[in-house]
Amino acid sequence: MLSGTGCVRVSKVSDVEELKTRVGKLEQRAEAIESSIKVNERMAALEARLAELSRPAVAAPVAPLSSDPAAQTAAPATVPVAAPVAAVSAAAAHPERFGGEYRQGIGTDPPSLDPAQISDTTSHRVGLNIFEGLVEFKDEDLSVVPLLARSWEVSPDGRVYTFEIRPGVKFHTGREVTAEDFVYSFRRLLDPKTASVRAWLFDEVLGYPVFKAIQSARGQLKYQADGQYEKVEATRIEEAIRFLDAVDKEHLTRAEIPEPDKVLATIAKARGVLKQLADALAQGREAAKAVAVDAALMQELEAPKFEDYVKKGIAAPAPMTLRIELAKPFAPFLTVLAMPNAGVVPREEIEKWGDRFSEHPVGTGPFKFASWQHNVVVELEAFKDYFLGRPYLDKMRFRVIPDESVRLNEFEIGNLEHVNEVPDEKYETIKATKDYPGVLEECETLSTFYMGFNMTKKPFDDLRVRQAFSHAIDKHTILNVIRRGRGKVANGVLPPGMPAYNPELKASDYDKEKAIALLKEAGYEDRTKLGELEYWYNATSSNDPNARLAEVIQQNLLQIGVKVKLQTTDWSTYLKKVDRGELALFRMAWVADYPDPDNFLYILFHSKNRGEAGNYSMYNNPKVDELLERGRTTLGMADRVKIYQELEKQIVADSPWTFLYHSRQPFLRKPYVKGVVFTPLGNDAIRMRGAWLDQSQMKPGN
Amino acid sequence: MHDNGKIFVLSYSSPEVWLRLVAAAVLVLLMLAPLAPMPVWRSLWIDAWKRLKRNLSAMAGYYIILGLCLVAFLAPWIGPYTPSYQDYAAVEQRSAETLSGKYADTVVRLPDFSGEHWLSVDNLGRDVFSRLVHGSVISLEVAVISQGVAVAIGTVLGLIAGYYGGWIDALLMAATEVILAFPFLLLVMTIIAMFGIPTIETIFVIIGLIGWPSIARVVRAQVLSLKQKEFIEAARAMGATDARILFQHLSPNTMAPIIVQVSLGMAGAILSEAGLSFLGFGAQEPTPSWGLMVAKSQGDLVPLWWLPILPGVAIMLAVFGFNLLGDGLRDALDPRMKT
Amino acid sequence: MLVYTLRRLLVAAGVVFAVYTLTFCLSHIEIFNPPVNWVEALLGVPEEKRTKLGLADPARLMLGQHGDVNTVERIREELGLDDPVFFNTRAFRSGSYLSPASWSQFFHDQRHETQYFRSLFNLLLNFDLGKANRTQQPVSEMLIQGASVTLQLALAGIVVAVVMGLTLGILSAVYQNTWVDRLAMIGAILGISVPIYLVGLVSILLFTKYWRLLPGVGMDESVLPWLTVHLPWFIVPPGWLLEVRLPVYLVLPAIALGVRPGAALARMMRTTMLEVIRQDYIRTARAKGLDEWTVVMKHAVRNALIPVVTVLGLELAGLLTGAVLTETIFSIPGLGYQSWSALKDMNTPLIMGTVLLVSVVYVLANLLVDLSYAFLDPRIRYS
Repeated sequence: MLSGTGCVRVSKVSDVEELKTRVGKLEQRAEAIESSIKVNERMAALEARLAELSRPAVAAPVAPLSSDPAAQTAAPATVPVAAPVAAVSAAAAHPERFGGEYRQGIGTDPPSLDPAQISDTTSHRVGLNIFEGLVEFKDEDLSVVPLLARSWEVSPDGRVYTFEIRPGVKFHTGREVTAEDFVYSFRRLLDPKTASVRAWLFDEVLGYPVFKAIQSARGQLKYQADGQYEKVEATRIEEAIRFLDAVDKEHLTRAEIPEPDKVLATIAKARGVLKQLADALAQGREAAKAVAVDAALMQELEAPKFEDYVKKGIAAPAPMTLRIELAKPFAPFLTVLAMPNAGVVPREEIEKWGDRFSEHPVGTGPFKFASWQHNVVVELEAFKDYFLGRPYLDKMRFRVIPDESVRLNEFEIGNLEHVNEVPDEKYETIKATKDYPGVLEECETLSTFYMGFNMTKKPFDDLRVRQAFSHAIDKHTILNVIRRGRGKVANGVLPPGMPAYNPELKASDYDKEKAIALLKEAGYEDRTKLGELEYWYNATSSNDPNARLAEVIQQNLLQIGVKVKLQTTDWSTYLKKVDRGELALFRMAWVADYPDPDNFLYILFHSKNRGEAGNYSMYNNPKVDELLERGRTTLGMADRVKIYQELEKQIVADSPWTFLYHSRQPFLRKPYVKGVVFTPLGNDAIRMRGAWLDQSQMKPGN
Repeated sequence: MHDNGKIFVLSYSSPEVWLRLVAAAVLVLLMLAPLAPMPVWRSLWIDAWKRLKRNLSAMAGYYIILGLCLVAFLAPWIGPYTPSYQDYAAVEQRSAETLSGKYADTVVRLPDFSGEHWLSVDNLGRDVFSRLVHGSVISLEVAVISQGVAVAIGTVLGLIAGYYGGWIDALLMAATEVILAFPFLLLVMTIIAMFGIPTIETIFVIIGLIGWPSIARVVRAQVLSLKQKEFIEAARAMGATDARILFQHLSPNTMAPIIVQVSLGMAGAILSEAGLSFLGFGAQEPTPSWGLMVAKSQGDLVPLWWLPILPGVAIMLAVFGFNLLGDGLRDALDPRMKT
Repeated sequence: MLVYTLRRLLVAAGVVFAVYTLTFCLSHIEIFNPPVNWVEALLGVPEEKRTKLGLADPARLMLGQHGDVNTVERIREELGLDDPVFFNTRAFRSGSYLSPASWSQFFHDQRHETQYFRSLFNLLLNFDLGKANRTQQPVSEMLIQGASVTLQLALAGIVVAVVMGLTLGILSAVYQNTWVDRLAMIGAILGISVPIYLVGLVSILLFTKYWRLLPGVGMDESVLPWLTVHLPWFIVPPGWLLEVRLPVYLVLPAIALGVRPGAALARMMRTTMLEVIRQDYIRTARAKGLDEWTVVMKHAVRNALIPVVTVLGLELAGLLTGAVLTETIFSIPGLGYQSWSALKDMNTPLIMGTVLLVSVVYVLANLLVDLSYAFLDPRIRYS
């Protein structure tokens, strides 16, 4: 990128003429070489294509799946042998679609390309093409369909999943995938040594809750034993005790943990010490220091290794059979498996690269990793032995371009095939321009933007104040002015398109009088009594939608006589502040990881998720907690929908947020880009397996 | 005087309204000052004023600044709306217009002066003309406050350095050198990023804190040349204390270079504030700071070019005015320096 | 001279060290987190307040909105974010201040388990500046990348400044007190008054959007042609040709960046030219019957250039500041843009790196300027 971009040259005038002729000659030679390279490349591509055509298609014929979302969890269920969406299985029929390089822009260098560490949209966008899991989302309705699993069976109690792995699937290294690979990949995700940010995917796997309980107990006790008293925390001890209490003998025997009685005895002992410690802490720090932890107990807590806990939970009874047993039913489990974090990775590569696997990712996806120039470009190339036949594209380049408007500019001059964001102020112009060099598609995404109240902080511990604030916000105007109408006004937690979405739900409407009346009722006729309120948001650029939203909200609240001060900070500080419940009034948004109401409601409203896990409003309603647990363990979508709709109604009534809007995301592509599927999961979850470039429509400058 | 959210309500019983009007009247008188007959006696200041009057470009600067002050004092009368009033209907109308394809291929549009908003509205529906007018207040505030701070610190430190010399002088001059040559914007940004974005007043003061070295240097130079003059020797012989010599005898004689430096410093301060606000480390919304306005409406460059460009022009004009006047003052107050 | 240089180098190292330490304090000690005060922050935060620390937390950043305390803590531990900033007194916790073992333990802890000394030693021994938050990319790599882009921009900006400054300065000196002079000088004052982003926006509007001549924003290494500028003949010695090849994408940013120093240069050039023209040797040259242009170009300009070179040296700080604004408006991924976004995101390792680099450059540049005085002007002697 940097070499040869600018230079200052000093030379004798007499030399210049000679130099010029020499440069001319060199240029001629370069041209000749270039054209011959092009011919060679062309030949190679043609040969590859020929080989492709002569190879029998691997993919099995497609069996249409029921589009009923309930099908995925209906128990007992056996899903027949089926192939994923047929986009590529028909590849052989279209030789003209092969070839080409696809360029997209990404905002930052991907933080990680290790599926265990992918948690941000940029890495997700790249990783999606490299890694694949057992199942995937069907493009049309986001139901779960088989991918690397050929079929699966769910036990009637919804706890045991048995997957039949598809034979003939190869890693990019060429080795065939077996059930053992999945066992390794999934256990790795849970292993504390990996420190995966997405370990929660497999939280419910049999045996893991015991391990987690012992781990958290051990953590606190170790601090105490090592004399690091300052790290011992009362809340963490309580949590550990709660975890330990949840362990029972049956769980241990079912998980086949060696010497269950001994483990139980250790747990009882650890619990005793923890209790003692908690009591002492209540007395004060000094008293807590006196609590002794004997070395024997610490040793016992170390005893069974991590592998012993999950060996029953995740196992491969046969070479191509994977068995996952859960501690208790977890209805969205299959949906969770479709996330790229549950992708299969080859053990030998991870052992070879260790921490640096992220720099040399290997999976089974349609594209394999080619090169990575940090902060400049990530390159992927077609995986010739992809089990559904090689993808059409030869190459994909993810160019790092930090600025949104530059990305759009690059798209317009033809240096990118698609961009997946359009600045608000450009949106209308693009729509109105007739011969715009791009096609704009839009899709409602599974997202909810909201203004959150911290329900434990004054004055928002009062329902009437929260309602008053919600009534003061003019959502329609916000949507029209801030987002140029791109989205839908939110009236509840769940976005349209999500199972259990309830169109009848009516959250607060815009009503200034009512807001003022409610404030009066709550004893705030004199608004100055509300104290100095601050509205917090995070913003990267000065023209960030979050910043504009903040200003409109400020103006809206001013209309009911409430003055708020705007406060902004960077994302990481912001996250910390909401984690700790320091902010009384803030903006937030949630975009679905997987299309299940559990992903919204459980994470954002369960009392055990207060703080960093997602419940930033510190919402705490035992009735809702209970329903949420029930929703997780109930099998059959129809019943779950009822449960979720009931609890969502309760949440809306409690008004922990002002529900603002569900956003609609743009996908701006070149006219010659075909076969890219864009789903409500957002424009960072675009799969490129079936993408191809229509050469006939490609013209320079388009 | 208060605002009802949309416009300023001017009640002529409030003292603020009258103070503004009186200030405006004084400004008008100052504008007429060059026409006033000159007194018959002579002094340094009268001579300087005469020289200044003859200097065309300095007078241009003089009128630019007075005009700016006038706009700032009369802002509630001139700007039809409060700078933070958001007219959502206007944004929606603009959106509809754009969507209709009327301006699809227009690169450069002309403002529609006949409408409700002369210079249209920004992306939150705030009247651009009103914000431009009220932005002048921020710019003048930063000029005055920051230079006030700079003069207070710079004069004292300059006097001390020049008068005492020795290691104090060496230390202070080293400090001025460091501050003058360090990439100032980066420094301030780093401090602000770490301390959290402060209020606009604090930013004025920070700019002042970094602006004192240039004043300290001119004061020191002046003191060095005056120190050996007879009247100081005389004062010392009469047993005057150091403080008395510094503040009674030396400081009045440093006035001329300070005035020049302040005028140039004000130009720099306005530019710094605008730059900081442009980068997001200065004034925060809804303050109608010109730099912030440029940053916020960059995306509207096509076709509503005046949204980002006019605030930029306003910054340039203000800075230009102070620079012209500063140059003129230098020529007028110190004929020896004239080149 | 050597002693002087060495002494200055020592002072320079001291300045850099002080800046580094100060920035480290500011960015690692949360004095603005109300429960913690300076003393506590330095000597170790008391137990109760511990959980309140670490606002801009890279570990938290990695987890996103659905975080898990255990994982955050694990990552924090891995990155050593919970270690004391300056003093690790663990070795003395048992109260054994006299045993040599605890002292050696103390020194070990100090070196390896305090954030400040660990990063300082890493910097000094391995030239390791740590890794940026979020992307976990080595800071030194990012700095090198950014600096090389900014260097190109600065060079291009200097070219613009020199061409503009010399042309305006010489013209107005030669035609002193005519309309050419007045126009040039008003132009120069405008030049030092205009904000960089205004130049940037106007040039983007005209050249990119309206006339569609030049690329507006960003830099793409692959597609753009070069622009070759031949520097005017009065700048380079006769018989030589100085050819500057600019990537086209740098043209507009270079103009935006170069206008201010160019205007300053023009004013400086005019003043020194006028001084030089009054000198005796110019009168002599004129008396010899040389034509006016030869007199001006051969004798006057060359002698007026010396102070101008030092002005350019002093403009370095201005160039760096200007680079922040220019790179922001043109979205050029240089040092300025990088530091701006690092400050916005509180990307502490990157901020530390940038501050360090800038202070090193600044200190060295100052040293060079001072030393060059000695070479240029034999009357100055440093002892």
